[in-house]
Amino acid sequence: MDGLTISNANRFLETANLDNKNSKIEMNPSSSSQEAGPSFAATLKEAVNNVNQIHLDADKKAQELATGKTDDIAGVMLASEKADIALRVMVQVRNKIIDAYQEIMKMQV
Amino acid sequence: MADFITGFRVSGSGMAAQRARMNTISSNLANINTTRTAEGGPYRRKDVVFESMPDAQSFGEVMGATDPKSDFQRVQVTDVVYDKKAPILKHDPTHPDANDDGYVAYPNINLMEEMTNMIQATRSYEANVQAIQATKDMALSALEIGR
Amino acid sequence: MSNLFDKTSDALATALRMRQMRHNVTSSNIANAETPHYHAKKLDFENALASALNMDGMNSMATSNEQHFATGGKPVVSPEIYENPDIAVNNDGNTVDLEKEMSALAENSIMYKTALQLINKKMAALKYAISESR
Repeated sequence: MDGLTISNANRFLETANLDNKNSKIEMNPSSSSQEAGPSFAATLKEAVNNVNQIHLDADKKAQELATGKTDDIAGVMLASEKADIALRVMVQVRNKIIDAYQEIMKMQV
Repeated sequence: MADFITGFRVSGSGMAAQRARMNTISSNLANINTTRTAEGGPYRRKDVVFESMPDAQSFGEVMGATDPKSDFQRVQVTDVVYDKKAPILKHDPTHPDANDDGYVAYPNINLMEEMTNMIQATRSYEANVQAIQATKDMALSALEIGR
Repeated sequence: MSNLFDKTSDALATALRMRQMRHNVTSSNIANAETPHYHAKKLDFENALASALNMDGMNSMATSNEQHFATGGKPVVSPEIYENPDIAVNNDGNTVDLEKEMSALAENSIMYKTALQLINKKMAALKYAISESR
């Protein structure tokens, strides 16, 4: 890894664990009566989409405020703060993922 | 020009104009019974004339300021006029300023009118002060971007 | 890199500029509240800004010429300054309504500060995302 950035982490996710078929870690769905949950990558993608949606919503509200279509200042500030917090949570989750990756790579085979 | 300096200048001119008006009102109130002045005759009521003019600083701005977007108007006191009303005549032969018929000429100043004008001038002055404070507020908060 | 500062930041920055101009117009009206034959002025920018943003689709910018590229450049919004048609004529030809101007001043000031805070938040979020690195 030539540098631990978001794009590198994303590439790692996409090449490593794309769907259930290639996974050796998760339970084989056909061999047990339980259903396997969604893959880690899918969960992560959904989380990122949620954060993106929150940001889009905050952006839309900010544009409405700028053009005077709304005067709901509290709503706009709340949406903006939610977006801010969601971004910070996502950054911390990314950090944890990268830490976990580094931990795994340190393991000697 | 969309900057805060314009706001300060315009509101400052408003305050100066109202202050000039207050000065004439004070003069009128103080001389409400003055029967003798240096020019002869009773004191004559003074009043200010306001005029709005474009807020332009340099010659180039004045010449180029045909753009209505930049046409912010200052206010200026262009004239101090004397009231044209005739003085009030009261019959008092014993007064040292009485004329041949025994009438004394008093200034035609209505106390209530002057008090009302004073309240109006105060109100306008305070409005301009609030405008300046809002301008200062906005300018200072713009400095906080990125802090 | 061109999407680092998005359309919303541009919209908010334009709104800030417009509100500053509106503040100057309102100050002008207040200063001239007793000038005879002075007509109160008004500044409108909301519609121009909304159409420049092309509010229906958040993806592209409206262009004035077919040959222009909608690359997300800054919207050029021209405000409209005109005489306020809601006339409260005084007996000396002055049409300034002082109470209306004062409340317009207060509202404009608040919206200006709100837009300022929103821009601040966006810049702070970008700075945070850049600085937190592993």
